[in-house]
Amino acid sequence: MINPKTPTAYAEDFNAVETVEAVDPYTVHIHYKYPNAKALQSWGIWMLPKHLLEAAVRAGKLRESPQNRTEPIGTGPYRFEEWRPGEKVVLTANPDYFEGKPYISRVVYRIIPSSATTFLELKAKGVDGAQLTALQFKRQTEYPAFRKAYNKYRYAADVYVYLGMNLRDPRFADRRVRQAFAHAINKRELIEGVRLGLAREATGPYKPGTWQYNPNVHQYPYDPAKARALLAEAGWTATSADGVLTKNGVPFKFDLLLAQGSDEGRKVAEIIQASLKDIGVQVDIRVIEWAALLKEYIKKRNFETVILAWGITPDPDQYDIWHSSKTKPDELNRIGYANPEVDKLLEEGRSTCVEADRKKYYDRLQEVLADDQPIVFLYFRDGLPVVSSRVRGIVPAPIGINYNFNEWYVPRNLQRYSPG
Amino acid sequence: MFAYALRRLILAVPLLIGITFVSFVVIHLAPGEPVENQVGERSTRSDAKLRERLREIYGLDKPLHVQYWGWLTRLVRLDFGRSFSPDARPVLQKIGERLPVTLLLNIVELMIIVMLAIPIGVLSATRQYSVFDKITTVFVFVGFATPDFWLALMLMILFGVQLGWLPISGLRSPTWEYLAFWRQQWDFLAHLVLPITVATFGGLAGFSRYMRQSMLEVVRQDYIQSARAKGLAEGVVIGKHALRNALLPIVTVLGLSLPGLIGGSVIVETIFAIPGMGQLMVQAVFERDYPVIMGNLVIVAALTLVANLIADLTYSLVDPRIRVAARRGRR
Repeated sequence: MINPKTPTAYAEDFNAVETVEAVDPYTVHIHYKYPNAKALQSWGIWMLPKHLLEAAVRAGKLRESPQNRTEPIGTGPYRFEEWRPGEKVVLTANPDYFEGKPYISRVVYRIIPSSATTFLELKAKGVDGAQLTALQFKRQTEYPAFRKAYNKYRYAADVYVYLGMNLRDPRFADRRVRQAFAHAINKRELIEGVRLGLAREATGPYKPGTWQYNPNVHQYPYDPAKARALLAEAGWTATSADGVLTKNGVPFKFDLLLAQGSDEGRKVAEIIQASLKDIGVQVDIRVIEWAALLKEYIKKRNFETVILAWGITPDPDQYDIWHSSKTKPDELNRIGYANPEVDKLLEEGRSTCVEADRKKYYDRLQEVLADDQPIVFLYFRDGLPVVSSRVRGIVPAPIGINYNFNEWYVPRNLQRYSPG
Repeated sequence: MFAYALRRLILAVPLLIGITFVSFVVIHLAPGEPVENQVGERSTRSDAKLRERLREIYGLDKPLHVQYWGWLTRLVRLDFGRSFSPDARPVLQKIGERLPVTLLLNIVELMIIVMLAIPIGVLSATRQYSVFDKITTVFVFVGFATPDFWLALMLMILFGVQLGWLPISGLRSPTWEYLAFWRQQWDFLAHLVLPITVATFGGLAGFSRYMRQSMLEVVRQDYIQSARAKGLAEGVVIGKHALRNALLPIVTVLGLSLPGLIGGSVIVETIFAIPGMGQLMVQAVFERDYPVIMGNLVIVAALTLVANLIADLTYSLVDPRIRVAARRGRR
């Protein structure tokens, strides 16, 4: 990974490694130059076969090696059997897996781009498990035959949707304006309308149910009167003829950018537009194709507000998003947030490996972020998987249901596909 | 005629270069750049240095004409390059695994359309304004106006979910490998029924109307009247004399449809989960996967030039008047 010829985003994780030694066939000791809490997560990658890849790495051709796509080998619970691009991936159980051979002997991942088609396949029993959309989960799968044939699960996914504001814009640099927006948006209504209730409110960048989550932060209940008061404090007192707040004669209006193709994002934008209209702020929605949006508007910091989502990692370190040093065009602190206390908390949080200590830093981080509202945190959407009811052994957890896939099984009398 | 064909082929080369150059420039004019989707933009991890490195590897920091020249010189060696998407596989490989399916679907569809459209067109023309004519007109226009994805979903629900007669999506069943040989072929065919039906239904309108129009014009000609006056049976008049002339424009249209054979319908492919060219190209455009886009473009442009030539040659073969005129022109 740290070979400079390998193009990767994660070299930083491994540069700090001092020594690696294999103590026995199942244990490896890794020494770091300095405490790095993210280290454990970075070793969640799979082991790579040195005998196959050594030459490729030296030539800088790791990316193109068949290990990556056409003939991977590894140490996981399943072995790669076949990949038909665009069609399916087939895996067979690995009898040498260290936790024992998985019960389900063959897994076929079918690649189906359309969620409507996936749903029809489920109904026709052509597939045994899939993710549903909110609408399908809530309204179209409540009939007896479906509930008998499938089990539905629900968990908070590792993605949260937010309203981002460009903090270089003097209007949004004022904290009261951001807090006013947070009060003006009815998050419960948003979740009901956009996700049919299948999401959890986000008060910060961490998921409820995880160890780092801090529920005791400043909340922003739906309160348009309070929103107006905050805006008035920030100098937005006068109102023009068509109901838009003005300051020094300039009306409060801005563009809300949105990536094309996201139905969910569009609904969120429209609800925000209506909510802000209620407090006298005019929002114009602009839908832009993703690659163009990223290159021309976000990277060039040429935006006022934007609806986006962040995927989060199990490890709480989010240095790259919130630290004031990460504001170059290709870096992730796009809104231009700079808070010295937050910087310090981020640095300290990642440099100790004692969970209790980290919890203190991250709790305080969530408090500061909630007070500051650099973005308006909206919601964590729910993952909505369904699995055929003949499969046993599924134990839902905050991370989802797939983590113990190798322990799932189907009782013999219910097996649909004979072992092949 | 041979000299003519040769001349056309030689002229095709500079034409191809021109086409590819203009396309290259236009593609790069679109805002956005390829390295985006590679690096998990929306994840809370990233590295600006990586992006710089990728830009270097792809040569995106060089000026446009330098990039084009590099691409062209590689192309002459038949090196289409590697895709910019995360799998970095050779462009020809990516196109090669999707082209057969698309070709199969399109060729079968074209054959069915031609087999249906010609009789429909002829019968509509000879029985103009009859009940048959009116019904088929409505039928083909309904087919033309119906959105593909809606029709696809309706057919899937009826034949897949409710009746269970046909598979819903994909090209093969998940257990295809374990089937006996003939069952495998049957399975594959069953998967093709719905997509071809949907595609054909929409495409019938064009050809059948061309056929009808062409037939109508021919039937009014004097020589048809003299054939009837000679006492020939109506079937011979229409089936032999009229049809041959009426088919001429169809031959041209068929020839011009050849380049379209390698383009898939992204809507039909997405709904039926068929890994075809349509999906590949649309995805490549959204990802700004320039090598794949250019690869496809070269193939389509070359095919178009060749197809035009074939259409012209076939036309002169089929229509003696053109052959004679050319010969006379040369003297």
